[in-house]
Amino acid sequence: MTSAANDKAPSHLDNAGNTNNVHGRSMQIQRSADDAYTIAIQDGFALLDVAIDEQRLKQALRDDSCGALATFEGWVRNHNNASEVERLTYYGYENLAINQGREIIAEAKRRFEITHAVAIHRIGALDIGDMAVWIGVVSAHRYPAFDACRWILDTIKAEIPVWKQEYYEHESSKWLSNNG
Amino acid sequence: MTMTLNILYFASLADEAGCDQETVTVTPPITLPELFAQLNEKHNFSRPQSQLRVALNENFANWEVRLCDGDNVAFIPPVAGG
Repeated sequence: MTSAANDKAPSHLDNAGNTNNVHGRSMQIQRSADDAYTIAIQDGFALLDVAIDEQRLKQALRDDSCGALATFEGWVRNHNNASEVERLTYYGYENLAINQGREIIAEAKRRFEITHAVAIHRIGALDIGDMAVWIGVVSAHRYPAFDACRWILDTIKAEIPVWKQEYYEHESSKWLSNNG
Repeated sequence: MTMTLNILYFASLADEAGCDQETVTVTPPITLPELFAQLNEKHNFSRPQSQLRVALNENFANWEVRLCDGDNVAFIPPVAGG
């Protein structure tokens, strides 16, 4: 096998010991934020690398035939078990996430009697309290909206190619995983 | 006759490979597990293949899928979204 690295030369640790060089691309989206919103509203899912405008998403879900809107917001928490979290960074494989997210929303529409659903996951450096994910589901009646929202969240956590690196007060940073 | 593949790495795999992308030239026939094994020899990944998923051309695939010239292959470590 012969190979060529397309990224910059190694020394992927900067002076602070951060691996920003090899992860730079996966900390940002390639599309514009507007394109990301359009894709999410139309097909159900996108990644964003700036603060999520949940009002914009909520507005896009407005539908007079729907009596229920169920939403979920995921916030960055200040602790992970016993460790004090200072901040974290999410990384993503944008195109795979969009493709897989589209399938998740389509599957949600097959499983639950809902009219539409939209979800966005934020990537990049986030502070405590920042919103990492927003999910909204509209349906004629309430139970499908609650149930689909929960199912979409669980499935996003299981399948979407997003990774998290947490930074702690008193320990070195580490890569987290949802299922160890 | 050789095949050129574009390999993408993320998270801990990118740390260990020292890059987020590399182009490799291989001689078919080669399966995805064999490809990973060769890359593993080079980069000495801490996770075995059994802990990874694989994506081909921006969609999840199973490890039995056939590779074609010009394919984008991404090895996906355990995800941590939400």
